[in-house]
Amino acid sequence: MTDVGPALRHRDDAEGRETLATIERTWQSPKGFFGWFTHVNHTNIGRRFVATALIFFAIAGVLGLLMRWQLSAPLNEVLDPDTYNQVMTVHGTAMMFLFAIPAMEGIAIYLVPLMIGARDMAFPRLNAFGYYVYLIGGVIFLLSLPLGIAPAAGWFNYVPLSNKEFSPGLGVDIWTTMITFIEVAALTAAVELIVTIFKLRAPGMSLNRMPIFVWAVLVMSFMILFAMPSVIVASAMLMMDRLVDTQFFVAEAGGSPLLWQHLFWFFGHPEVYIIFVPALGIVTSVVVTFAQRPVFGYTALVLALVSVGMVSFGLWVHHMYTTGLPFMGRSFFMAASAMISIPSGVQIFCWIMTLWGARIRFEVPMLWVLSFFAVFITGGLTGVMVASVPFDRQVHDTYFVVAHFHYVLVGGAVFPLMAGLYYWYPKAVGRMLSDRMGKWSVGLSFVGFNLAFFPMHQLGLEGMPRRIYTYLPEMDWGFLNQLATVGAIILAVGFGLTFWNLIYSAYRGTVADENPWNAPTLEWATTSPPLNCNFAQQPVVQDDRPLWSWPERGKRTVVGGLRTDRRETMVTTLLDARPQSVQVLPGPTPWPFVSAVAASVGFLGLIFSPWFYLIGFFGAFVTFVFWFWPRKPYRED
Amino acid sequence: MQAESDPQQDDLILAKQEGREALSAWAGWVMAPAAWALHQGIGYAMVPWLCALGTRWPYHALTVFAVGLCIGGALMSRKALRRSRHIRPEHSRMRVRMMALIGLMFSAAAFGGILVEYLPSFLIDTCNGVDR
Ligand code: HEM
Repeated sequence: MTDVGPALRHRDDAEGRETLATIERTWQSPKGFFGWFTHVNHTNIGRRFVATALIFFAIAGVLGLLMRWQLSAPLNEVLDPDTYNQVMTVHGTAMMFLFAIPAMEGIAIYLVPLMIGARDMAFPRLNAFGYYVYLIGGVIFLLSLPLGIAPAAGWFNYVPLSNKEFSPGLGVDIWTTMITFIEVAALTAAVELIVTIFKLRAPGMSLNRMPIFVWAVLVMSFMILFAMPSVIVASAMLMMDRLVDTQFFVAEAGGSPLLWQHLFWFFGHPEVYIIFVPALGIVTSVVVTFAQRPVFGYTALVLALVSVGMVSFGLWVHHMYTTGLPFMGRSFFMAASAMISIPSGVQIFCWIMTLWGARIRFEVPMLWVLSFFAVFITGGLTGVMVASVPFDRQVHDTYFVVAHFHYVLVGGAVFPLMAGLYYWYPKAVGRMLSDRMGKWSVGLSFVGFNLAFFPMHQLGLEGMPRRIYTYLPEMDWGFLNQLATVGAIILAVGFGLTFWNLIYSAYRGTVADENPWNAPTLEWATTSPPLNCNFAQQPVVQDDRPLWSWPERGKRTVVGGLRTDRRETMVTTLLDARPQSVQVLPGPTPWPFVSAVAASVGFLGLIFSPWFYLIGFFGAFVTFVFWFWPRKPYRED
Repeated sequence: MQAESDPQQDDLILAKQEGREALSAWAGWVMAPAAWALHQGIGYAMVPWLCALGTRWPYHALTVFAVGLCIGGALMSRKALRRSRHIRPEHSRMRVRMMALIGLMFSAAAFGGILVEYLPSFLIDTCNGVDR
């Protein structure tokens, strides 16, 4: 390790510039159309994940608006019943599987290596593979809607409704195959995030110095690892029930429809927290930076994050209170459901204490975070209400539940995501987002959201069931529904402004310097946008807020001795991040893309014939062989 | 004359030491949540069986086992916390302390969770809602 003084990069002399140019060439991604398919750098893949997820969000949002249009007045005829069911199912599924998880993963893939001072992820090619799987699966899933063959059995696809008998056609098959396929992408991202966080942290970044966002990503990744197999197994079983006449979920043949619900919700409930936990990390990053002080209660926050992750696996039966399960069994889950509010409360307490007495800078990311507090706490309160069996049995399958889960999903995930976009955009793009547009966007989204979803609580209490395509005028639900639709339009304008801001500011935004918000974490220690190699020299850290302490110390220590002519990054120990070895990372290659196409052919074909299982398997196998062909540096070594 | 220490050698020694203490460092993190999950999962699954059996003893035994696991996690974390006093360098000591403290708090929380799920069972008839 070498001391390089306060400067953040190589010496500004001829030799220093030459060294930097060599490293940058080594880490460069090929240009051009064909080059695009070979990129493996985490910054490229992370940006793609986020951009694709935002496009899917926009599409699913338009579907939400379509439903609101249909429901704005009784006996409306904008959508017929079957189309409504398809739109509703695709909206829910796309929001959960195509937008929320991948957006969080994308942000994590982009930021984690930068935040921990690494040069890339542990498995860059796997990263690229995951992205193509997600892209192809997502596009095919969404295309089913304009083709009129979309699934229509709701985002949780309950059997027997989704059995062949009651849902003929290709819709449910598309759901089962594509969801299984897309979850492969979630799993690959989770595996490599875990390995990256455990093994590639900058020397000195022991676990107690890791940014809270990185902790949050770690918890999210473990949750994905435990939750996804359950939905993959469930959808594979349903696929077989429909394709090769197995009878896992067919009650008449001795199968169990309730098994589907158990398997689905064992994934489905943690899923909500998989989205929410990284959002907590984003909120903490923003709160720390805009309060300009270290987070209050680091240990308590980590404890709370990990507890939320664990307890979220013990709640799944609260989605099944009305299925006639034994009373004593239900009581366990009622207790656990109420219990999860405790770590959530701890987190909110830590944030309030961090902000208490600080000179808060009310910049746009902070405004999104304040909106998050208001909306998420409301959603949390209705959450405690529906956690209780007697109350839940009254409002089950009504609009009260639709209001509750939009409060937690939009408040708990979308608002923090917006905060994250405004906060890290300067780092990723090198320009600031427009402040004025940002403030309008927060304001409109906050007002629009509450106008759209608050009345749904009352509608639910009045008995309006969810998943109905229309209602009779005599029910007197017209006014509140109209209000909700107006709110949804205002909300859409609010989010739309941010979309426009993202495009506009990429060309016209003020140029951002390295650390425009004076934040303490390592991603701000490199250029904006980051170098191809992230850091000209990998940093060594001495505490949990290096960018605030380096100027005090007057010097910065970096890792020396890494080769410049091949992609190398430091490997460190799991707990204390002591230097252990060097990992040689692979360069650009088209094979992950080709493998993803081969696997897609298999999965897509499965909708039509079980033989495609073999075709997909062998196709993927052959491409994997090329992918794993020994690379040059190893042969030379 | 004292031999000058080789930083790379030091790192290797410390890395090995870290590997040895990893088990106690993670004990509370793993044992306590596992205790709570086992208690909830097995307890939930055994309700129809308890009803058929007409006794709750297996459930009480399960609770005792789970509480024992929590206590085990807490003890190992406490041991790690005590040992942390002698650990150098400073940031390793702080890291061990943090992990041990979280392990202890996890154990306490899991104990609370088990209790909260256990106590109501006395008020509910095991056979209530069971298909017979
Ligand atoms: C952009 C604003 C949004 C609007 C206007 C909107 C509107 C709606 C509407 C009208 C329904 C149908 C309710 C029914 O018929 O039962 C619905 C369902 C749903 N929404 Fe949203 N939504 C929005 C955002 C989101 C977000 C951000 C998420 C998740 C991250 C989400 C997840 C869901 C889910 C999971 C369902 C349930 C679908 C089902 O019942 O199968 N929504 N939404």
